[in-house]
Amino acid sequence: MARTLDEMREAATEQALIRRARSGDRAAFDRLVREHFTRVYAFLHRMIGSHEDAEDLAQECFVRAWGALPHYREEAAFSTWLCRIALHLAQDHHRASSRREGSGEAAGDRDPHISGIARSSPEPSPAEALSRAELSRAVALALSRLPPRLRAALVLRGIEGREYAEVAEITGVKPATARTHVMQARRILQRALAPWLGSRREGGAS
Amino acid sequence: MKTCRELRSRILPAVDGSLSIEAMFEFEEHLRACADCRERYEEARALDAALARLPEPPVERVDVARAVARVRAAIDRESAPAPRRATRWVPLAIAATAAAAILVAVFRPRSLPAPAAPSADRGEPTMATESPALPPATPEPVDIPLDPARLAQAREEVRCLLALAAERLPAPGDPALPAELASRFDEGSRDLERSRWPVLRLVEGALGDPDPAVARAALRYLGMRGDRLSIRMLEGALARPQSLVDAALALCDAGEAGLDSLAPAVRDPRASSLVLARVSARGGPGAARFLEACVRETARVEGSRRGSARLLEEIDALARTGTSAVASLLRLGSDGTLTPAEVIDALARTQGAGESVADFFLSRPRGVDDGLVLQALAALQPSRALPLLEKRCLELRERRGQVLECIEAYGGKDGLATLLRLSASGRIAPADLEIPILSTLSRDRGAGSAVVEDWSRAGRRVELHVFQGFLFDHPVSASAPACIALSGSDLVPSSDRRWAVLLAGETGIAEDADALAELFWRLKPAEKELRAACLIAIRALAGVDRIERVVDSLPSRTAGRVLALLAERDARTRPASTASRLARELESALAPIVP
Repeated sequence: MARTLDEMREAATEQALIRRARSGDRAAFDRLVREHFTRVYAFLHRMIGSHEDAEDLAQECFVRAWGALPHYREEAAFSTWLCRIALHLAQDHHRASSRREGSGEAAGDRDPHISGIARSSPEPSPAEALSRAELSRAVALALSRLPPRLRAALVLRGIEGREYAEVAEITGVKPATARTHVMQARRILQRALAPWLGSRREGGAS
Repeated sequence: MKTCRELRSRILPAVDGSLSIEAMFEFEEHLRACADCRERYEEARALDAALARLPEPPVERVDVARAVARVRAAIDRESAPAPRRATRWVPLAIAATAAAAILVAVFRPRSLPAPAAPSADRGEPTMATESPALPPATPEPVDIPLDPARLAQAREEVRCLLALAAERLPAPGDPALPAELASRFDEGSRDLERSRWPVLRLVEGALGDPDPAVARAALRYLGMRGDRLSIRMLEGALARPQSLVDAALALCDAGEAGLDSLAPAVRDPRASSLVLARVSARGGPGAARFLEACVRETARVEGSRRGSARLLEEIDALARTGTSAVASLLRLGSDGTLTPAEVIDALARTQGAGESVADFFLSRPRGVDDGLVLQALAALQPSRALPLLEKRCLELRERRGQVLECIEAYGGKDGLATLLRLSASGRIAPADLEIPILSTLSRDRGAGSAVVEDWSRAGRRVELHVFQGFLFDHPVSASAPACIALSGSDLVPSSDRRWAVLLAGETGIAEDADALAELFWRLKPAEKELRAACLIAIRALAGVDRIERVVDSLPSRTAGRVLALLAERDARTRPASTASRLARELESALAPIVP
């Protein structure tokens, strides 16, 4: 897609900052952190659901990015590259959490936002009983239960609205696979949220 | 004919907007016929809406400046030499450590012991230290008994380190951050920190140093730290005339953390230009808010004498903060601090303002005048803002009415083309688009024909078909020029072209006869049905006199027959059945000129 003059100028500035950072210029790297921190944080928050963990992991993401800068080839956009590192961190975090869960600590207990729904028994007519906020909580819970790679694909495409090519680059798969992941994720969510989405069909999947 | 199963695979692309218009048409046609697929599609859309309504991550809780500092500190920690691992070969390790200690003692004469003397009961003066935010290795706050001689020695060491670091100060006027100064000082003062010396207090002591380079380095170092205690020290230095400018620069170095303390510097003529330039170069929402407050304050002080060079400089600085300035400028215009013209002028100089104003319009924050946002949006590169609004219109259902109003406010060819594309997408109820399209057509009668000509050149058959359907369903005066343009397009079937001409004759105004006459002469002689329709329409709009001028250059026998046919019957009052007979007669009158 053709880029506007402003976008090209912005990219040129960013490339200059990356080159300076690669040669050890910390001020340039600080600027890159400042530019990209919020977006990386937002992605991690959507993946993990906790402010503190997302903030810590976002910082760790930039620390790793500093170490890996010499390997950054500028083939992907810098933001995409950062997102890929963030995704690895989120997956590690998920594995660690799963281990903790295995040792008795329930995921719902760590996130009171989600645990309220997890503990509540389904109402006979949830569509009437649940307000919009409760539906959001149900969606958040269902999202948190998706396998990380499906969750990542859905967050990147369905919530952040990225192109499939970029989703593929971040998750390290082909665009067609990224599309399949998004479809699988949607199918699982639709099944999980069928009572709230007004599905009359068993399972509610498409 | 595609099967239900094949079309079902289009549900996801249809929901996430990656389906072509043609495929969407086909898919929606199928949906009308297939209740099962329709239900699946509605479920997918319900999930999409639920995802869109998920709360946004709380980015407002993120302190980016602090995050930058923490990343920096973590990198520092990682790049520091790793502590030696305990080895099983203990005797050798002990020997090596002892040898290292001897070497350090011999070759590092300036090495200082910890501030706490071995005997804390000597009644020596104490210095309360505060734990700064950085670096993380900083000790907890403690009251440390001090040995005056050691304190003097520590002060001297800090002074020397500052004098050395001052070599790395950016040249006067260079807006770069003194990052190297800070890292060099941090490197040099690591031992003092480890020995629990209150390095920050020692740096504060150097603020009044007789050597201006040392004092300047101390100020800029505090700015780079940017923690609360450093900012407080800089506020003190800002109040002293001799250090005002450097303290102001240091507060600029501190980024967001220093902004709240900068107000006195902006009011001082020695520092104001420097500060405005630095703050705007750093950008970000905090900088924009700070500059917005400056503009408001200056405008308030100047009152009716508004318009000084200083106010203009502040507005300019605000505009240079980039997209963060958009909200500030619109607020300043909404509360009357700036005129709409001043706001739009500043926005025009703001990089990326077009999309931001559109976002701003969609978010509808309180305290901002909608009319001003629309004015700004129409002024700022509509060609970039319109596609954005189109995309948003398809994505967001809740605010669709507002977005459509905004596109309608653009009007003209671009606005109309956008509305028609939305109609062609099939994703918006036709009733929602009816008024915006009709209102755009009647405000600019030329917009419809311009859109038809563009799309005919670009071969956009589907969109033309949608527009044609709309025009035929809405026979109003404003649609006549577009109907005439449609009848001249090769992409429209000939029967529809003829109907478009007759419709223009029914609904148009006298001026439309010129366009019809032009079309009449552009048509090939063989297109006699269409030419006949043109004549009927011209007769209806502008009378027989106008026909005489049109047929003037036809062979005299043909022209005479045409005129006779049109003159003897009043086309305006004839029922439709006789109008079509007249058309047939005209066609036969025109037939002899076909080669």
